[in-house]
Amino acid sequence: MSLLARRLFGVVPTLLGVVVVTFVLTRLLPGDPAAFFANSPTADAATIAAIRQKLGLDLPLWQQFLLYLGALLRGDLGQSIVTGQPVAADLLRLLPASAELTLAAFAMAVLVAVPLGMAAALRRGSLPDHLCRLLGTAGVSLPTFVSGLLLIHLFYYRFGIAPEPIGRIDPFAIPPPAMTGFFLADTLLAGDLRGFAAAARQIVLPAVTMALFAIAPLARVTRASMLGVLGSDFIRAARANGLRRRKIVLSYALRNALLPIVTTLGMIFSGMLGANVLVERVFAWPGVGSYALDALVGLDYAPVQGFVLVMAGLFIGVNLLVDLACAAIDPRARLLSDA
Amino acid sequence: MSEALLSVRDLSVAFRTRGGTLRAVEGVSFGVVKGEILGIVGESGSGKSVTALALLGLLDAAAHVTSGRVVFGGQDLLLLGQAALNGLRGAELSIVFQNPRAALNPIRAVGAQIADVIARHDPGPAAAIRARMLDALRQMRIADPEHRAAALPHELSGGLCQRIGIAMALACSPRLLIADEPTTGLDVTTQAAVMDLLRDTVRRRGMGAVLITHDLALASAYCDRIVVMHAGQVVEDAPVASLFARPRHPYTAALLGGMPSRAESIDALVPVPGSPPDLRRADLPPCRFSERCGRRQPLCATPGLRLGEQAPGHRVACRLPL
Ligand SMILES: Nc1ncnc2c1ncn2[C@@H]1O[C@H](COP(=O)(O)OP(=O)(O)OP(=O)(O)O)[C@@H](O)[C@H]1O
Ligand SMILES: [Mg+2]
Repeated sequence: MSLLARRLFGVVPTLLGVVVVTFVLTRLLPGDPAAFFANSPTADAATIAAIRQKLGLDLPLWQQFLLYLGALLRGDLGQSIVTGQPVAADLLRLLPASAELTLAAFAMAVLVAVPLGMAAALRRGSLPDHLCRLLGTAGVSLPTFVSGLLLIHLFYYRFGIAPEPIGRIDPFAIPPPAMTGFFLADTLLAGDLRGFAAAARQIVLPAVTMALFAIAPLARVTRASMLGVLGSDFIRAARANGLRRRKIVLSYALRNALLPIVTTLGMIFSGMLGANVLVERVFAWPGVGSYALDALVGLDYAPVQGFVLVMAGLFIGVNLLVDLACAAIDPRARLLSDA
Repeated sequence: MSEALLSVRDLSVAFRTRGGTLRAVEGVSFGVVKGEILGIVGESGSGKSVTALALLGLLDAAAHVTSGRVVFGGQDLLLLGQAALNGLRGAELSIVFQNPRAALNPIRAVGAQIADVIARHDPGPAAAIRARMLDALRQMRIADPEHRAAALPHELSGGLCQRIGIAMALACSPRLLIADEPTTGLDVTTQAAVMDLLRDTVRRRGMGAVLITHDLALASAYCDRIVVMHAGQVVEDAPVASLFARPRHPYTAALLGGMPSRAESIDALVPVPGSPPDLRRADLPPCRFSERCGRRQPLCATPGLRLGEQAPGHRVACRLPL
């Protein structure tokens, strides 16, 4: 596992860079949080100065940074001005909602795009092949929030088959007992099938919205990668040796085609983390994206910093996973066994 | 009279290309008997590989077999269904490709790849399959087979990869082996070692083999009979001794004239003057060599050219043979 150790070690400078950048960025944002925090347009200069002092905003920037770093190391992400709660607690509370949405969208994208791309590569000129190309042109040109609003318009407003886009469950329903924080899993664990169906109905549209922009590139990469591998000498040799089609496609071709697919998966997942912010806003999804957006509008530094840090951590984690997956797929690197 | 193993009659293959129909192989006929090594020789683009792929049903989608019969084991391979043909491939007739490393799955241990082929055609307990796989490696004189079997293609030399490829092709004891330029890219010593091994195995097992090469010297050293191809046509088909003693086709004569002496290094063909016609032309002459030929007569433009026997076992497709 030397690769894992090396990669984990390599993450440290990246994280430090992220911390610096988020710190500087939030300080560059317009507006004076102390004035905002005073929460009254008539607050006098003395009150504001007192608040500035209390928030440490009167200290030189480098001192503010060191204080910030020290707090971070203690797991203290600061206090949200808007909710009045510790940011770490807020994020932990809201993260499952975002994670459930992102994972659902990711699973949807993978389950549609990878088989579609494979089918397109195996039968050129067939229906899946045309679909692949159509998606490639249509899917990229539509921004996430437009497709989200479009879906709401069609399926909620026009056809009335989707529920109102007001979050994870009906506001009057009781959320399931929290075990995983994922409503889909929690309702099932509680044996609440009706609750599961309700949660599933709520998540479908936002998940589809997020999956839509990911399906096109993923299907395209899968198709291209499979085509490249299927045309190579060793596939012809495998056919010449009479190996069965199933074996050739799934074991010989797909495994070789997987490297670019996995890399794209990592990029798509990272992209979804970003798309979260808008999709959550459009569907009133109570996740970290909505939270961060509210904080940003409210000039609330700490939640924004916390959000960016969590996202950066996730980006780095995803990249790490992609690297490990590639090493596991491609034994040529011999990264996981001998050094 | 030895037993016919493979008989190819009047095989033609065309490709649909953007520039029109490309008639890559035209009316090709030849046969292989048990224990025989047949060489197919010709310049690059003469249709050797296309012929081999057509026999095994491995041509890509743009290709069409427009005529012919390929009789192997009493069946016409061209009429056989995909499943039946797939059952024969690797079991009854095998092919070894040029560029040995590219013909192996880059991310699967070579031993496992051989085991895949054995398991496909002779399913059995894993231990038995592994024993057969190791045996196949040993027969190719691969030292330390247990260790080698765990290697990935990129960890092995080109010569070793080709021996692995041959071991794979021979693992299920096929009756016919087609080797398409099996030694290109290998150095001369390795080339000789691989070819010796190939010849010895074919002789020992009483198989038949087709050796495709553009190296006339290599063909003369290892083959019993040679088929010379030019621009998709067979121009001459003769026992090695007879062909070298007296080539009857002007193209063969030109090839032999340009061949380096035996003592010199074995190398590719020295080009024959002129170039073969564009195979996409609609007005290809009956003899596709005629436009390069110094002996051309009006007679050469009349249709109906076929291989005629000039001496025992020595056939040539020429109106005015030498
Ligand atoms: N997939 C294809 N599509 C179109 N034309 C093809 C295709 N494959 C082969 N050809 C054409 O068929 C002809 C014969 O090619 P082939 O590969 O059989 O030659 P070859 O004798 O094996 O040559 P080499 O010694 O270079 O391997 C060539 O003119 C080639 O351009
Ligand atoms: Mg060839």
